[in-house]
Amino acid sequence: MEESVPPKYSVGEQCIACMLCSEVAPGNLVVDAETGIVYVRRQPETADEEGLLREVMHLCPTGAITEDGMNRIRRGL
Amino acid sequence: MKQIISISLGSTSSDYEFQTEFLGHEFQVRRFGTDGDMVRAGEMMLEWQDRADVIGIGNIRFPHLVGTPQSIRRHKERIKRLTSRIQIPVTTGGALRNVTHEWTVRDLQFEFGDYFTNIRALFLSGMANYIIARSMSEFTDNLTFADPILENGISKFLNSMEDLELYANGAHEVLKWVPGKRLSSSVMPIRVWNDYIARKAMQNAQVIVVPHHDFYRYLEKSGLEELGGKTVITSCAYDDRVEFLKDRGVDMIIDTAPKVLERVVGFNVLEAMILAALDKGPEQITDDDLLEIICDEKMDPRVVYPSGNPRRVNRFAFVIHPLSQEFLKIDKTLNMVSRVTPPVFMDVVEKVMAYSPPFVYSKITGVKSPTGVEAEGWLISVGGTPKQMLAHSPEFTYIRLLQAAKMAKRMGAQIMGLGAFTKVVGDAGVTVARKSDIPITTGNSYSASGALWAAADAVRRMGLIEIESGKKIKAKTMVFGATGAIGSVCCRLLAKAFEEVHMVARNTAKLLALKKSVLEETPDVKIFISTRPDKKIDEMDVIVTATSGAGKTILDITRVKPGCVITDVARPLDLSPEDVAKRPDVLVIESGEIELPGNPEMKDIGLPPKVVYACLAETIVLALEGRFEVFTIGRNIEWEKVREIYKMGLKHGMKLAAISGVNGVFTDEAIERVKRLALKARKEAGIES
Repeated sequence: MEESVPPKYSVGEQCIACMLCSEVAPGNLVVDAETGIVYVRRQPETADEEGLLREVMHLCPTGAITEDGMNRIRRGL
Repeated sequence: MKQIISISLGSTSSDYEFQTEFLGHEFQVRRFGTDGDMVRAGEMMLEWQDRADVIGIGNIRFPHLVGTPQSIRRHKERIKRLTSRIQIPVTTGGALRNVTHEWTVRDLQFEFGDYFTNIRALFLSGMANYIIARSMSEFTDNLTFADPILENGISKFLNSMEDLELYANGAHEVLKWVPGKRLSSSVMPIRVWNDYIARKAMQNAQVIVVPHHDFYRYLEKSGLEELGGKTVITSCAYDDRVEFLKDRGVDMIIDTAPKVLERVVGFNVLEAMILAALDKGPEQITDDDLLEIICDEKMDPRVVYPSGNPRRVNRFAFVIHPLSQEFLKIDKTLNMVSRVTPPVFMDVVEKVMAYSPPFVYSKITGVKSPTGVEAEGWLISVGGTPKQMLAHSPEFTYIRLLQAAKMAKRMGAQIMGLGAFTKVVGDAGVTVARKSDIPITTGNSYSASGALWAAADAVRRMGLIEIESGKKIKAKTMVFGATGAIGSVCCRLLAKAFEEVHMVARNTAKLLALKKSVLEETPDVKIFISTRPDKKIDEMDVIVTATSGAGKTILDITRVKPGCVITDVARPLDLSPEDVAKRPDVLVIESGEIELPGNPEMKDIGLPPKVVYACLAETIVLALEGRFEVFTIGRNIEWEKVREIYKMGLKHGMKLAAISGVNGVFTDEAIERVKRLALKARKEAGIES
């Protein structure tokens, strides 16, 4: 198989960089200071982090954070 | 003279009175504001009905064309109650408004060349501007509606026409949304949060659609940050509104209400005048009546440039990738870790990065053509190095390029270019162009053009070859990778300028076919073909290397003639810095770099400021020209396109960047030094100069 398993959570281009997600889940979602683009720095590894990501999905005003997507994620970088 | 009275729910401070001629009739038009007082509006209509031919009602919330039947009926009944006691025709201008709203989008999409294609539009009220949204949705998926936030205080945007329709019908799940403990217990009230996210959405949009009614209420908290550089679509942009938008840096105002009189008037006034001229009631007017009048009176949408300068910004995206492990070390953490770990660590990172989805590396702004057109775009990076792309099947890269195309479309790009190795993989962009929703170009046409442009400039500056005006240059040239996309065009171009062209490639049949084809175009050139890169290399004055060897050694630089000009078109480069250092008497240029017009700003791409690779420049030229089409794909470049993109580039102010080698820009002194060393080496070797 060529494809890796897609990352669980991702941030879509409709993101308006309101920063709410990076406030709620700073360990997983961060804002690139230069481009203003939010990306998933690390997928949730604990139940607590999973809970925070679910909350972020509910709160995101544009619905940009989705589960099981492949949008704009930089794993490790 | 026919009398038109407009009773507006808007401010009394905007009242006016004037006489005019329209549709062959003379009119006296008077407007009376009521500051939102419905009772007063009703009284005024009664007061004026004996002296007016038609009454218009202005600045009302038009009945929504989307929503539950009950809500639409309620809205219509409210207006009916207001006008029930009036004996003369009364109109809100709704019929004309509905036609012109759709006409505005279609007209400008045509007039401005794909203006709304993939554009990011924010509707402050999707329900009030439903027709505009529906028309625009044919050209872009990037629609955002702020209705839940601004009408219901729900901190959620809607992102599609389906969502808007569900919401209008009271069936969207967002209507049941509750903010949750975190937001509701926050020190920031929900209202303040909603204002904040509405402003962020405005900053993120390229076009903002503002309803006519409550114009100032919708925009009261918007400043330069939200509206600067934006296009605003609205209706009846009176002078005070134009001034308001001008103060906030709006680039372009699209007014759906045509300006056919001396001053801007509302739809109700225009429709009232049409009714009076045709002597018809609002129920009797047909679509054909309106079509005829719109055509005859040239009632096109009005476009206003508040700053006085028309501004047009087209959008592009371009895919890049790390050229080697060294590029991955741009990340500071990785760079630090790589120093204390064995090399195998970076091999693993390189492999992992190849699987990562595309991301935005940088935004490019400030590109401005002398024609006035501007371009902005995004550099989207995929993770694979050339080594990793070659290690996987082409489909592996196609998937990531199609994801990048999807991202580009969501961000508003109208065309996407494929950079470096992404256009070498598989069928060189054909599959990606077929499956992508936006036009694709590889940039190979301009790469070929830029390479030869640079070679010609380098030969002239070296001054070792005699150039006679109007005659072919008496020199020997060689192209490595001659049968490839760029290589074959280089052969054709060199054949037109030089006496002798040696074509080197691996595939014999392709070489034979290319020779025949070049000779058909240019019969007076001497063509030699070979599969051996070392054959006659020591006789060449100009060498173009255009292979896709992914860093493998193709050309033995130690054997070339002193003073030879080598143009390395391949990416990654065929010649390493170590190779180049072996021959200070040879000019090795990394061809194809183009200086962009205007004041472009972007993150570092390894070139001097304002300078980009020609393949990226091709994407930008096409964006500036408004040619949103699949331009160059596949392995065969068309000579006509090379010429066309070159001419388009000149038109838009593209310049050949200072000739760069592996160690940066060549100064005149550096070129003189190479020439001096070459003459010395030739003398020692007994080569005639």
